[in-house]
Amino acid sequence: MSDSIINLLFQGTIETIVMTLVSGFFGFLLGLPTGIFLFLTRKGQLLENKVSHQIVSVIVNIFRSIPFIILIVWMIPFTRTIVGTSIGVAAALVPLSVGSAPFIARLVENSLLEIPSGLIEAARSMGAKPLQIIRKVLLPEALPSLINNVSITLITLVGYSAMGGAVGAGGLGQVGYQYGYIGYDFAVMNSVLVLLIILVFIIQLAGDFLSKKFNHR
Amino acid sequence: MIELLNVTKSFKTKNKTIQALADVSLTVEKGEIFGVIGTSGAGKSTLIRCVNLLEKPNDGKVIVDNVELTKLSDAQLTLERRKIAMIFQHFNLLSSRTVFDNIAFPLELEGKSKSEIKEKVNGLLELVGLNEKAKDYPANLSGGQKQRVAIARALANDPKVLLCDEATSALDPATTKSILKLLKSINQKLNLTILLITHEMEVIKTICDKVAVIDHGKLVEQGNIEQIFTNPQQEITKGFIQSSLNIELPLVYQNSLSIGDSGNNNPLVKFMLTGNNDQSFVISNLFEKFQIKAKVISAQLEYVGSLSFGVLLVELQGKNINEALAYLENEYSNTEILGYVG
Repeated sequence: MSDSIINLLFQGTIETIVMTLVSGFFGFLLGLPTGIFLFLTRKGQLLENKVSHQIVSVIVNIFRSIPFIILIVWMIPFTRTIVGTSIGVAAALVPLSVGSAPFIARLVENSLLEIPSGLIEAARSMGAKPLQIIRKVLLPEALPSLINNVSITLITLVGYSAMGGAVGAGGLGQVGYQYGYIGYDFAVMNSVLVLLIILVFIIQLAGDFLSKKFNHR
Repeated sequence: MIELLNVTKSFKTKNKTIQALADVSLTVEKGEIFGVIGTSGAGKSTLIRCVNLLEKPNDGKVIVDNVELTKLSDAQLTLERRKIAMIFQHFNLLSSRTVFDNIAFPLELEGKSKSEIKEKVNGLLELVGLNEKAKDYPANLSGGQKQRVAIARALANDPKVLLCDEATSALDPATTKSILKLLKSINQKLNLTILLITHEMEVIKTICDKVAVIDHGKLVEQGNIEQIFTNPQQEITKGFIQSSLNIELPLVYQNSLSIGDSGNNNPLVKFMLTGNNDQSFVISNLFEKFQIKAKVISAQLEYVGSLSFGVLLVELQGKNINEALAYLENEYSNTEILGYVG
């Protein structure tokens, strides 16, 4: 394998990692509050509100139904206004973040549902304000499960970003598509595959380790 | 200190309305331990949750320490709840926090400084006897230790009242005793008013000053425990008292017992003593009045305050059996002939 190819793979790996982490960050920035909102507005919860729950729930479901590859293309005008281009790593970040946020919201909602309702009741009985309950009860109690959600999300994002490579995103996906598929280079294709597998394994192992570390149940 | 006035609460499900509390009124004086007993589904959980308005009543007033909680806004209520502590059947400790941090939780809500928190929490750990467990997580504690942590947490904000929601129902009998002892000592040391709910008469008997019986959302009977234990009016109350006194016929008698009297058999009689001092002399009374020898087979006596009550199972021997039986039926409650032995 030539130096330039190795360089390409290295560059691609870095780009994939950047896309995964940055869009994961923005995904959580959008998804975490949405998930908390979905949980709190549920029936019998702290801020029970059927109408707002339904509205947000429907929006989340709509975005989750759109296949990612279509979302990227569909969002191009929006992506252009935000980052000024529809090609490359920066452009991929927009659909990746938007695409993962509703997914994250549902994961977060589920994690919060696992918390025994008695804990929220106890916090209310002690005079905790809603924000205090979120900060001091819901998030810390769900932390191990939230960490698992982070690994699930990041692994999904590795896949999404690779998919995005076919329609102009950077990263390993693009390398694999352009040089492996279009250029018909098996060595590059397989190297991309191995690199993606390694990346996924590292994320999973790190997630498991951290989740275990914070689990005192 | 706690006053419920005509509190009513119902829950709506899809096709019917369940009346959880119907016109419930009760008063708990300062420094008192007040117990509410009822079977599951009687409404006792709803009752105790109506005191700190975790459940909002449909109607009626809730007054704690002269503050009418039912009139407050949500934000005011949240602050008022900090003085109304509560402990739970399943402890409800935060699994992500150590014992120390769990107890610190209500102090953090108040925005107390680190040093204040440290001093207060260490004092509370001392009070509940868990100094050595300060850095442990709840998962590593026994049930009794978890409830001790919950009690310490409840006391952190120097509450005016403590609500106990089936606090000992998930614990074994020995641990139950030690937790009740702790609650009693806290009640005496801090003059803390306690309202508890339970389905076990044992709990009421051990620590309560007053008791109320709840059935189908209504308080059917309430009063001092001496009064209720020795002179229960309602069937359900009698049932609770009897369930706390269970004596069984020893196996050797079960086998030789016959239902009818074949002529010269001796009756086995069970009857209750209900706190009347004279009743305790039943053995000598039977002998002096009817020359009946009463052989004690099984007995259980309990003390509520200075009054004793209990149940006695005796075999009557002698000639004037019928007169003796009539005497027992007149003077004692729940007199019952279990059978005859040869």
